[in-house]
Amino acid sequence: MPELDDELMQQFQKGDENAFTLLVRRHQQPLVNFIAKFTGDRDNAEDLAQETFIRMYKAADRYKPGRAQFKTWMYFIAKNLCKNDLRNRSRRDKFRVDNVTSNNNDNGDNEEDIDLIATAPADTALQPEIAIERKELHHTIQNAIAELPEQYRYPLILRDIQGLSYDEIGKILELRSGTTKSRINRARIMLKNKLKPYMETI
Amino acid sequence: MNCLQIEENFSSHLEDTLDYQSLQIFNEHLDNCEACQKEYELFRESVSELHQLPQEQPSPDFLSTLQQQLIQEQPVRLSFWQRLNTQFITPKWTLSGGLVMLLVITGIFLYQFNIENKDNTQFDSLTQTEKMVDDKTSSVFVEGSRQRINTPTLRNSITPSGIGSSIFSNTVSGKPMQRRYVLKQVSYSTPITGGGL
Repeated sequence: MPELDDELMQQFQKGDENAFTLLVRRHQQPLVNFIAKFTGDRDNAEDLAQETFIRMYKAADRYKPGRAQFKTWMYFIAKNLCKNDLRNRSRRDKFRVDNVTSNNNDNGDNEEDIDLIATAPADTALQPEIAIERKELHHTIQNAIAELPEQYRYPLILRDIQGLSYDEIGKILELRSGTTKSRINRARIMLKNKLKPYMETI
Repeated sequence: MNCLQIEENFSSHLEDTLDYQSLQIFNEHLDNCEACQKEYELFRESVSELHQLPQEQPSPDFLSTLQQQLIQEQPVRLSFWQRLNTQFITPKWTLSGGLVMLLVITGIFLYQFNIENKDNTQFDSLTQTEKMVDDKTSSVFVEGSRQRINTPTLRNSITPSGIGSSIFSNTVSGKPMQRRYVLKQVSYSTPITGGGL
């Protein structure tokens, strides 16, 4: 069985559908995770991940193994889909009534607490306070990421959540090496500043 | 290095990519600057928490749903006639084809009508001229006398030349027409008498 993504892509280009299935199996989790972290919408993330694979499937003939890695290509397509999705969503949100959110905030805290307890990981069930604290921290981090400008959010997620190299991130975001590094550093500093009030109380 | 420059190197220090000299300066600054120490500690913790964020997992039916969608996306192979039907036998194409046919038929009809009309006009004019010439043979230039006896209708339409023959160039409404040559015999024996033709 071939190990490299490029080899699997070449097999798929020759008509082997199973090769593409293997690629999907290999990359579905990181892709869904990336989109969910970027958009902050878990349900929509799956749809966008599927759309990414469909686009790759359709454009497989144009894929040139030596030029770009499968992973880089995948994130490049996903990034563009996320961008479009967020743009469309912001247009829709403009027409929403403002008082819907203010009404929700009245009871939101209690519901959130119940949700945090219900979804606490099983291994920390014996220490519910810690579990809730961790969950709350993750929630805060997720919100802080969502508040970052797009140009900083992408490199931060790709680097610190997806674990990609600077070179790969540069290719996906079409940035030079120096720009990629400085954006990641800047994004981390912005995140630190957003989390500072929370971190100092722990 | 000032505090701002130290902050710019947070990531490089964290990922251990600073060169020896920069590393020395960074550490020296941190040892002497409490604010930067604190900021760097927060920075490190934030990144560490980011790495520990729970990973989202795709649903178990992710692959099967994708495969179903891919099947729907695959192009259906059609025969030549089916492709012809789907591509050309559509209301849009039918309407366009009909309009083109109508235009072609109308064009042909108008062209034919125009040709016939033209022929009739030419024929009528020629017939009229010939008839008048037949009736009045004297309405030509007669060699020798150089006298021209005109009738109003023939003034511009009859141009004789040559002895014993008349060549007529017909015109209809000022436009040059196809030349028709009519050979007419001119009588020299009968003198033209007064009292009309």
